[in-house]
Amino acid sequence: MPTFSRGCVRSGTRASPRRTDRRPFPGVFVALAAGLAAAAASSEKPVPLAPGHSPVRFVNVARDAGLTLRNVSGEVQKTTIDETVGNGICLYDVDDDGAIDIFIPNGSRGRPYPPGEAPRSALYRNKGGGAFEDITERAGVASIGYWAQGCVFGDYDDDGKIDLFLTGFGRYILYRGLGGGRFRDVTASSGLKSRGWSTGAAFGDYDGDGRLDLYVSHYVDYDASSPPLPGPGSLKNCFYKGAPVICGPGGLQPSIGRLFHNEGNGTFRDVTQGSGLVIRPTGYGLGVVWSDLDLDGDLDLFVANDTTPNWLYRNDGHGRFTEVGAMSGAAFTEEGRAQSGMGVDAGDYDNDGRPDLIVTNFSHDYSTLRHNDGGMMFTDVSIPSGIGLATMPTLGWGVGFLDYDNDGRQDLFIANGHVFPNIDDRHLGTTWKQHNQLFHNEGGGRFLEVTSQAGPAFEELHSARGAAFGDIDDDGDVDIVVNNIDEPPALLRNDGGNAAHWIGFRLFGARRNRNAVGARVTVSAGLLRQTREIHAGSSHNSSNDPRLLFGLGSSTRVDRVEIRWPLGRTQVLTDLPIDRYHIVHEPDKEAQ
Amino acid sequence: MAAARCGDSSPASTIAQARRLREAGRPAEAATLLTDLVRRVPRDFTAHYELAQAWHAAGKEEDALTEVASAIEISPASPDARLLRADVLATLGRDDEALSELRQVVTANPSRAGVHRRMGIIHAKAGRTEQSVNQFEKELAVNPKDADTLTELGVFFFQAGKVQEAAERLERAVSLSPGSARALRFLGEARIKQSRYQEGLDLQTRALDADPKNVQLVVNHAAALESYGDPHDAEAVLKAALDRGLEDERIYIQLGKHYRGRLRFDEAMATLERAIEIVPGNGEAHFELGKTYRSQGKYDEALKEFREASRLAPSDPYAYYYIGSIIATRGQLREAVTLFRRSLELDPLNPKAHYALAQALQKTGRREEAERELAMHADLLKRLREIRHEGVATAD
Repeated sequence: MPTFSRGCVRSGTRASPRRTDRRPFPGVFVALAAGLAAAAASSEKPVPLAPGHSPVRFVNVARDAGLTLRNVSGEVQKTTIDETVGNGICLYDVDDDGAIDIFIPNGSRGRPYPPGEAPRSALYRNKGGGAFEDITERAGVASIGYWAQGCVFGDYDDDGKIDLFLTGFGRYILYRGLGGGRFRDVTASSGLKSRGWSTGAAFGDYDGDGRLDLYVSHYVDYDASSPPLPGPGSLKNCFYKGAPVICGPGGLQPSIGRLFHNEGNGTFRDVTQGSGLVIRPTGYGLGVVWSDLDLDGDLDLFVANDTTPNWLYRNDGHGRFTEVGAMSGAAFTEEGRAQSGMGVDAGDYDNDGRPDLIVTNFSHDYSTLRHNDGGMMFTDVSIPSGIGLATMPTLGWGVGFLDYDNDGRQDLFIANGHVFPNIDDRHLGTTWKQHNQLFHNEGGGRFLEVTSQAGPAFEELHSARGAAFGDIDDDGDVDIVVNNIDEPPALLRNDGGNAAHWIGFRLFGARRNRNAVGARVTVSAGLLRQTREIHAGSSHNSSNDPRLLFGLGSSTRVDRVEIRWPLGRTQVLTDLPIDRYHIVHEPDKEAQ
Repeated sequence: MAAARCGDSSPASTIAQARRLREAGRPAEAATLLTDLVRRVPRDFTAHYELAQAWHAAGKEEDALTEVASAIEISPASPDARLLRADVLATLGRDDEALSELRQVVTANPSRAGVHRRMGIIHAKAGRTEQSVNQFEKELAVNPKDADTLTELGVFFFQAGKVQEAAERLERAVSLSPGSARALRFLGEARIKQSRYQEGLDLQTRALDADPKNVQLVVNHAAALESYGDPHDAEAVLKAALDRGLEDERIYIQLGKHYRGRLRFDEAMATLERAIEIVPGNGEAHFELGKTYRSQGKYDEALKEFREASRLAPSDPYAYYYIGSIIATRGQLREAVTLFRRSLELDPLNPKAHYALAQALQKTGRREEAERELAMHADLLKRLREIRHEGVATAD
């Protein structure tokens, strides 16, 4: 029996103005009752999608939308490694008005700025109609003077008001949400301390106490006052293919990632020591994602390391981890080679119910797709999948599994850009500015690169870094926001992805873990069975729209939706109307 | 030959002409002239000596040995003939006999140039480090400006991993003999090891200018350009060598690798197939063709080429590794384990094979063995990192 009740669906929940009179970021969202939406959907024929020839086009509408923050990442010339890693993007509806807002962390530079000229991060409120409003100042998240890297939204104190965590140089920042899109810096009292260079971060309740814990990747133990510089007599880590370049990370001291336990009183405790996590400085940590990779009901942790083996931490269910990267096949390529891991995502691309892994890497190497074989074993399928060859010339950062054409199979997006601005002169087959890449999932384990057919946004050249995924215009398909180094961001509006049916979910935990981070949702529609997890933190320094959007292809109904809530409770929903989002609250056993 | 018949056919002029031919890289023609000459003047020391030189230069060592024996019989005290005999014996791998010959020369004439250098080379080849350096130093004591000895000492240090010591000797050798291709080549390699990449590449270019027909120089330079310079230049160097008529399979193999690295697979395959046409039994060409197919996900074709490479060069560990890795993806894990083990018997220091073996063992439930292999893999990677210490990890 379905436990989902109409009462759980927020009245007037936005439904897509699908297919008809498509306008960019329509100013008026059509509010339809669920039944009406279902009836409208069932009266229309599904639009067949030709494999590999998707009609979906992406258009960069950032400038028109008002997303103008120019990224700062050190000096434009890039002579030190701290100038190259770049920033992420974070998506969340911070003011609870139903529209996904965009937070863009920003960097800085080594030299001081004149008063009033230091760069700041930016929070853009989605006003609807394709327009955003810069609310940074009143939100209190400018973080002026802070060289930020990554960000992640999470309600760590379970007060129903979203909080924001920033990584970067010298310290973390924790902004506690006050509601209404306002925040207060509570770092000093939070127990979150760092003096190093932090990068990717992800929230997840690893010990099943219902509270969001936090893992933070750290990159290089770096002294910005005396950075290693290329030049005569410099080490091999300051050369790339014979040319003097930015030094590192190889040859520099790695920094140790941190695991923070949420104490439940507004503070975190550093539990890195004794948790089973690697505590020797052996990995240059960047991307991170929590995912139940072995389907045992707890969150495992995957960390993409630059130039060093990735770490895969199996959670024993009692708050302790075992590093199984090498044994599982997740640390190295199939040839046993460590790569320059950057961004990461976990997603079930072959709809077998197990989350697979994608890691972006350096140029002259491939982004690595690892199939989850079960039993915590992975196989590097980069070459046979078609991802390997296509990503050899590019240097990948932000990455995500997304079903951009709603055909029921998760596709892949990779944000690209090199770290050496002078690479263009070297005739190495790679460039500083690069195209982002889109791969269509053809089924059968194969991906087809459709970048050149994916619209004008993919014709642009940038040195892209972080990427986040979400339905920014609430029209039932996934848009993409990309942070470009030394440039304004790109907002890749998905036009046509909603030509196929879809269904979306916004999950709320009952009392703790209010955003249901780690929940696992399985949607069955005819022969199609898809599974997704809610993550808070993935890609490169980024976090996505917390809603889950499932493409249904030509299916006109959903047979069954199964939600496994983070603490293990399972909920089954049936008879849900499609082409709309559903808000689902975890049944509150205690209240009942 | 025609000139000798039509013009002056005296032994002296024939010998002079043969020398010119040999020095011009045409030793077989020189040998033909000299064979005719020794028939005419069978007791002429120089004729036999020069014929031995010609055979030695042509790689016909047994013939060279016969002729040098004739020369020694005519003039038993000739140090030149004994040095040549030592060279031939060393080329044949008969190092002890070569050393014995050299000792006789040095006993008779302690200040004779070139003897200690030769002894040093033989000791170096046998891994007798101390004796080798000792002999080179003795040679330099006799002849401090002997560029050849400095070169050999530099090469020895380079191959022993003593890059700084190598560079110092090779610098002196190059300053004494700026046209020495061998000194330029190894000084170039030393500079690359010292991260003075552009200087190293320039030295390699000079070496190639000095010895443009040296295929190994062409291939080494192209490989260095591929890794440390402009890959366009690597392609240009290889194509220029082909244009010069160096129709050698090694050049096609390197060009095929270049195309593969640039993801120009059709050209890579065509080029590697050309290498196979030139030398059908070249295992390396089949191996590289296998890798090219594998890069494209064409596993059936790759498997065929790796198997052929393995048949042609059964002691090559890497073909076994790749065959194993392909059949492992098809679930043939037991066979893969056997192949990985075979590969590791031949090269126990290949981290790839230890890793692949660990994965295959793990998938067949042999966890303890897998852990041992992973430990080996980790140890080898650590050692590699210490050697390379490069800034970023790429597929190169």
